[in-house]
Amino acid sequence: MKFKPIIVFLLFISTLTNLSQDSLLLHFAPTWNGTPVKLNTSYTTDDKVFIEIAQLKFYISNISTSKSEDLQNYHLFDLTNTPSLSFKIPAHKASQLSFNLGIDSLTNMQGVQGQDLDPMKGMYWTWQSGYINVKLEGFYSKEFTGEEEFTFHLGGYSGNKNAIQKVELAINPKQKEIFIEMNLATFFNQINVIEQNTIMSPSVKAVEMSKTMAEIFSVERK
Amino acid sequence: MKQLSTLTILAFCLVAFSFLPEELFQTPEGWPEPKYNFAENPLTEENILLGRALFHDPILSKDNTISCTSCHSQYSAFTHIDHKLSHGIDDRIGTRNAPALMNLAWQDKFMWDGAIVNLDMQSLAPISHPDEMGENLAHIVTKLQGSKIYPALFKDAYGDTSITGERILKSLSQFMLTMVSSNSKYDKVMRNEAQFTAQEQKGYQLFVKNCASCHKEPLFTTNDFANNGLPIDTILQDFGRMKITENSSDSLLFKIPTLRNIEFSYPYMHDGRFNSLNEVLSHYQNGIQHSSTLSPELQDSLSISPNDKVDIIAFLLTLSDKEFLFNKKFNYPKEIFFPVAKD
Repeated sequence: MKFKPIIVFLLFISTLTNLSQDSLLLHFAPTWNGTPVKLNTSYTTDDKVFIEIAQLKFYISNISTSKSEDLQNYHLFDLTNTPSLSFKIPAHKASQLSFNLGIDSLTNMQGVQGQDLDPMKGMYWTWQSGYINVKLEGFYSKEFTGEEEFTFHLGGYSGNKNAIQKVELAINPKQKEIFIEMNLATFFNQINVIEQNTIMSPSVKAVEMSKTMAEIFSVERK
Repeated sequence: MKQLSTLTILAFCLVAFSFLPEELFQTPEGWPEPKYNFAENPLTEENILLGRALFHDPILSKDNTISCTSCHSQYSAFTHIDHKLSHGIDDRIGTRNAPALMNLAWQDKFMWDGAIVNLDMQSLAPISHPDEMGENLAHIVTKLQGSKIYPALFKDAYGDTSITGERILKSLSQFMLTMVSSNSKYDKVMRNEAQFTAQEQKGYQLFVKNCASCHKEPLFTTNDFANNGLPIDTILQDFGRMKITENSSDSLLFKIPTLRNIEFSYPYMHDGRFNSLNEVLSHYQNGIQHSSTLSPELQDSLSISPNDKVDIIAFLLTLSDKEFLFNKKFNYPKEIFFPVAKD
């Protein structure tokens, strides 16, 4: 019976730590100029190119704020399963959020891993070692022309073909929930999908496109 | 009294040790440390058995016709005897010779061009290649979940019946890691358990002088890449490692293969162009094609007499490891696939 006060005290302490350890709820969602992107729906670029997304998958890793780090380090977004990826990270009223778009080179060289990193998720190249950081596939067409396919598999982890991108975003320290939008309209307005519609291996081009991709993330101001 | 108890403990330990199972993996004496990270995938008997079942099971291919052993059969040192290029589903033919599999724990680059950098990920390549097994890992998971034998094997190996891509690849690695060949006559000579014949000894000396800088003992490879002066096959147009690195200095470089069990792993070279060791040595004598990436060791042709050639081959045959080639622990596990009903 004499242990009871100790237990109560411990419970009290743990409640206190829980309270002080605020968490930050993050949502990642692809949009077309603010409208949530749906599969097999036609969108139009500034140059009047019609775009239809058939598949969008990407890795977010090493999420951290200026004051904390996420414990589970790898998150796979897959538009086929969900319109937005949501998870919590510990936060202490930080003013900056950073994450990687893709998988770091060390993880790429390690043995097989599970969960979101399991190769059965289809985000690992089979003919050579390495994760695919971003998979974006679909169709494009201009007025009076037939549909053509575009396929972007962006990855690569060594030397000048290291495609991982660090994204840094300013956040409001008071907010407990943050919506991060990935504006695909900006992406398709920047690249020329008619001239460049297939990237399927690590290359300097894949790195360039990954940079463009990293720049379309922004915090939604509500 | 104290002495007595010490003695009892000692005796107990001796008895206990005699019941300990044989170690699942050992680094042979004098060998370098393995490169595989065993800490991330610690070997267990149950897990090795699961890997062995998967390795022998055509369920890993799209139409359930091709298993790993189809192109990597034990009696030919886990390669495909008499086949220049690998065979896949629907009688499709690949572009390279299936390599012999052994001592994989000491490798950190796989395939003839080093495309894969971790043993765990190696199996993905033949599983997914349309000219090999043409399957994908997620679909294999579904097939295994529906099988009568695998959920139980996964439970034995991992503690629960959950089947994932990670577990499949880890178990395949576990089995492949146990394929250690270190009991050839050569090994026994090195351990002073046997002696070379005069001819083998002469062949060994010639080998050390002419071949061992690339086919380095005790693994008989440096695990590096080299252009060994083969004229390019105009149909296959295979430039080797350059495809992976996109670096012209890697043009025509292929992985230096081990020579262990070479007697059984013919045909030779990345495209299986040579059928005999005699042809291979003839290539080094007078077939070398000079180019900017030719290995520095091969700038001068191999200058040996016809007798020397016979002696080198006599030595190479001492690299055959019958214990490895006929080890029952690598066989088709028929007790799993066809369990005998108990009376």
